[in-house]
Order: sequence, then structure tokens, then C-alpha cells
Amino acid sequence: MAEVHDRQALIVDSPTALEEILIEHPDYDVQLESLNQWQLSWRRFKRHRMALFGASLFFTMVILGILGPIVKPFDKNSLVPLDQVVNNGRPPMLFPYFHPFGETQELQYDVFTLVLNGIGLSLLISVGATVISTTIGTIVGAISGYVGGFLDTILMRTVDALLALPLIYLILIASEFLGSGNWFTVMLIFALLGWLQTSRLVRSVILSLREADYVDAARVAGVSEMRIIFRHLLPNAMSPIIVSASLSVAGFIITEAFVSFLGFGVDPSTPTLGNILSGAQNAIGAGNWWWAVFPGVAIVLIVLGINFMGDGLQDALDPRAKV
Amino acid sequence: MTRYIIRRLIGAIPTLFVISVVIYGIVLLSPGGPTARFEQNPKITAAALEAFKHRWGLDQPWFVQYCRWLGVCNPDGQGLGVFISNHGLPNFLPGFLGGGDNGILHLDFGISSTNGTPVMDIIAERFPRTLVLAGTSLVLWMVLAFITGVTAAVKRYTKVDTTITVFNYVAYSFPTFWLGLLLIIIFSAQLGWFPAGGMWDSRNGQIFASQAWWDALFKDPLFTVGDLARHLALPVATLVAVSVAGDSRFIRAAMIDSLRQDFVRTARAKGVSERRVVFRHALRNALLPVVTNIGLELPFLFAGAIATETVFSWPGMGAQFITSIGQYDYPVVMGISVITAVIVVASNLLADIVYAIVDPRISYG
Repeated sequence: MAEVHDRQALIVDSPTALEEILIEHPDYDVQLESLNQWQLSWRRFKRHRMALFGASLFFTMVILGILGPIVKPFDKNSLVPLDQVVNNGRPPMLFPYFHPFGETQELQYDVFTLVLNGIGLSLLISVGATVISTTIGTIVGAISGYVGGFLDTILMRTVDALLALPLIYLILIASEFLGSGNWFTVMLIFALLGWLQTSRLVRSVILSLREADYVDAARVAGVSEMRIIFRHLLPNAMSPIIVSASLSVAGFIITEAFVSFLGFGVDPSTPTLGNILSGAQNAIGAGNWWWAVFPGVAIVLIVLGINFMGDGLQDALDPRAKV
Repeated sequence: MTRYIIRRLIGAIPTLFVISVVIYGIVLLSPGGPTARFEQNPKITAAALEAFKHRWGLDQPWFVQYCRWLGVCNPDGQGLGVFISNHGLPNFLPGFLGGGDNGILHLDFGISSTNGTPVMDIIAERFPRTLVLAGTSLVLWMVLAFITGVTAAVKRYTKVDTTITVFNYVAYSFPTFWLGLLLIIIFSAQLGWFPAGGMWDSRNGQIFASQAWWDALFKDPLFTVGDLARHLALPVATLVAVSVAGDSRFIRAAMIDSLRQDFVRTARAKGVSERRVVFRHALRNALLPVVTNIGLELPFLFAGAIATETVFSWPGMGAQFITSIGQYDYPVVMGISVITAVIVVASNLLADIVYAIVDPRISYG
């Protein structure tokens, strides 16, 4: 029980604590803490140790991705002086040359610089693609689920059909045939093909919410359809959307890496995590392992962070869960 | 039940139709098109280009081209006769029923624009190789997923469960192709235990499933199978490690759900042994959601196969797909996409039907 000072206003965080104090000291001025949904969610999230670990891992990578390119900008013309060139590039070393992640093989770039810049660009692409694809998926899913009928059939049939082919097939074909090259095009291709799953998810949530009493009440009160969808239904469907968006960032990180690894992604001279890896494959046989290992570790750390975080978010955002 | 299956089969037709439109549409939208490879060549005259386009029907409007590619239209027909085959029956019917022989409906995917081989031949050669890789992985990964999933569920909240869960999380976060690279670095470049790529030993081995390979299999089965197994080891390990995580978590959840049911408590109260409770009572009921999940996961198997096949230069369908995209070989890309989509749709269908058969609580009219 909380330490209670005479006559001082007291705030407790659970109804049981409130009851206990009031039974013992009916004259105290005690209030039940009032928190909104987001504060409650944050409180639940904080208790989830793995989720906190995941979130800090992910945001560390985000900060590295933002600050890295500023501190150690990548310049594709900054070649190693000829007299310093060594076979296969230098292994990781701190002294006499500062290459904590070693050097690449032919042009002998510093892998550390490449990875820092790669994290930034890869995250930019994935987060951008997630924002766009989640928006599209939410709108399509919400309208499809709420309106129903013929429109719903057509939309969902199309989504089903597109999902029958592994998404990576479509992304690879689109990246190579419809032109790629700069990061913005790659991001758009990801976004325009990535909304399918979100739309299915949102539709299923909306379908179950549509029958809720508060929606009937809104309809009786003469609220417009659009307002019902965007002000009544979507805010209640927010938690699965947020969880799926966070996981989709991880998915896009891996997809970008793979697409660029195959040479169908961003222009090879710009460092994204996949581009760095695409050259590394041929250097492995010659003994240059560090070039392939460190960019991959960066990918795994980002994805792992997001996966842990997503699990915590799922529990934290569930309004029925206990505090 | 039969009616349900027929209804589902008919329901798959629009899905496949939309996929075919999408695949065709992407290729249609791509700049350059099939003639891009010659247009820059100074030796190709405008007349030759026109003749080429006419020969392959590229001068037709896009819907005619699509209709012919699909196999509904007959390229020899005129006017409304395009829908009638040379045998005088609707063109979309199978060949032995008097239909045409062109288009994907008749398994004619055209010829590769890089080397002139019929696309169907390329797929027929590549598909068994992918099947060997994907099939081996699928079996191993299901076995491992069941062992780890059930163990984690039975020993819930113990150190074993935590270890499996953490392993699953980490493996789940690995990009398939990068795990492949790591395994090559460790087991091939550093330790030299396994070959870094390929499907057969280029000095002593034979091309897989060729006549010489079958001969070698009968003459020296140990070497031939061993050679295949050595080449399979790393790619299969990659695919299994990445894929086992998702299913293991799924099976754990299904098992925990099942162990919580009343019939499990009844069985325990009756004094049934713990082993029997887990395997006969709980696991059998946990199998239901798992069966469906396997069918839905097939796209991931194919996506994973693309990554592993490229990293390990496994000469299967995924590697061919990547090569063909790089070479702008439209017919092969479209052919492989269509075949994959059909397999995925069919397996989803199968999963639904199996679910309906296995689960007595569901009745389908």
C-alpha cells in the first residue's frame, strides 16, 4: 500500500488499491488514476521486457541510420591510395587503419561506412514503403469491409489473386521490368505491391466492428458513412494496423536486401544493405568474410528488434488486456 | 462434400484469371517489350522488325495478344472465328477434345527468347530439381517444427521453452539469402565440408535426372546419392532454419490451446498416461490448424527457394526465374510465374479440402 500523508491528495493506479485505502481510511482524499488508451498501452508495453529490448534495439538502429551518414558520409570516389591497396581488402582492424568492419574487396571501401549509410537508406525505403502501403491497405480494407457487397467481392478477389503468387515474384518482375534505380522508385514498387495483406487484415477487423452497437448508434444519429469509417471504425481497428505496420517494416528490410542483392534494386553504387551484400558473395571464396557478415548483422538486428517490439505492441495495444 | 470441392474448384478460376492478367499486364507495361533486344542492332532493318512482329503476333492489339497467350483465341482464326480451333470447336478446350494447342491453357508457354527452347521444356527440366530441394526441406522442417513446437508447449515456461522461443525469434529474423552466405562462409569457405553451390559434382557427377545420372545411380548408388546429399546439405539447412521458426511457434500455440481443453483434463483425470494425453489427445486436435497452415505456407517455400537457389547456384526454377528476369526473357518469366501461381492456388485448395475432411465439426453443403 502506498505511503499516505495526512490529508494529501493521493492517486493510485488500480481499483483494488483504491478500495484498500478507502476501507482503512475513509476520510482520505484518494483518486483512481485516469489514463487514456495510449498511456495504458505504454504502461503495458513497459512491463514487456523483450519488447522494451526490441524497441531500444530498433531505435538504436534508426539513430545510427540517421546520424551515421552525417558522421561518416559515403563517397564512391574516395578510393584507397594505390600504395595502401591490399589483396582482398583489410580484415576488421582499429589500428593503424580504422576499419572496425574491415574493407571490401576490389575498391576497398570501408565496410563500417557502407553499413552506416546502408542502414539509413534501407530504413528510409522500408519505413516509407510501410507508411504508403499501410495507408492504401487501410483505406481499401476499410471501404471493402464496410461497404461490402459487389465492391467487396471484386476487391478481395483481386487481393486473393495477387497474393496467390509469392509477393517477391511480383516485386522482382516489377523492379526489373518497370525500371528501378533510385531508391524512390524501389520504395514506390514495394508500397504499391505491399498493401495487399494490410487490406485483408483491416477488412476482417472492420467486418467484425461493423456490427457493433456504437456503429448502429452513429448511423441512427445520421453520421455520414465516411465519418463512420474514419472516425468510428478505424480508430478501433488501430492496434492490429500498428502491429502489422511494424512487422511490415521488417519485411521490407529483408525484401529490399534481397532485391538489391540480386541486382534488381537501387542503383548498385548507392549503399543499401542489400547492395553492400550483392558484391560480397564473390569475395567469400577468397577469404573476405567480413564484407558479407556485417551488413547482414545490421539487417538481423533491425528485424529482430522489430519482431520483439511487434510482439510487445500486440499485447500492449489490446484494450482488453489487464494493466 | 463433392459439391463443396466442385464449388471451390470453380471459385479458383477467377483467381487464376486475375493472376494471368496481372502477369501479362506487368510484361505489357514494361518499356521496350520483346523487340527491345534487337531494336538497337544496326543490322536489323525496319522491315525485318515488322516481319518479326507479324510472325509472333506482336502487331496485334494487346487484348488479341493476351487472348492468344491465354489460349482462348486461335492465332489462325479470322473475325469471330478466333475463338474456334482448327478442329471447329471452341479453342479453349483441351487438345484431345478438339480445342487448340496454343496458349497457357494448353501448357504452351511459348519459346524462350534467349535460346529458343520451348518454355515448357525448361520448366520440365528445372521443376524436379526445385522439388528435390523444396521437398526435402519441407519434410525436415515439418518434423523439426513438430518436435520443437510440441516440446515447447509441453514444457511451457521452462528453460527449454525459452531456448526454443529465442531460437525461433532469431532464426525468424534472418534473411534467407544471408543465412545461406553465412553457411557458405563457415562450412564451405572456412571448413570445406560441403560444396558452396551446384547440385552435382562437376568432375565425377552427372547432370541430375539425365540418362547418365540414372545409369550412375544404378551403378554406384552410394556415390550418386551421397553427392546429391552433400550438395543438398547447406541449401536445405538454410531453408529449414529460416522456415521452422514460424511453424514451431504456430504449433506451440495450437498445442497450448489444445492442452487447455476439457477433454485433456478428462483424459488426465481418467489416469491416461501423460505421453498418451499429449500425443493421442492433444496433438491430434492441434493438427487441424497446422494442416491448413502448411497449405498456406507454400508461397513462402517458393519465395525461400528463389533465395536459396540463387545463393547456392542450385539449378532449379527459382534460379532460372532470376536469370530470366535479368535477361528480359519474358516467356520464361511468365511461364514460371503462371506455374507457381497454379501450384499455390492448388495447394491452398487442397489445404481447405483436407481441413474439411479432417474436421468433423465442419459440414459443407
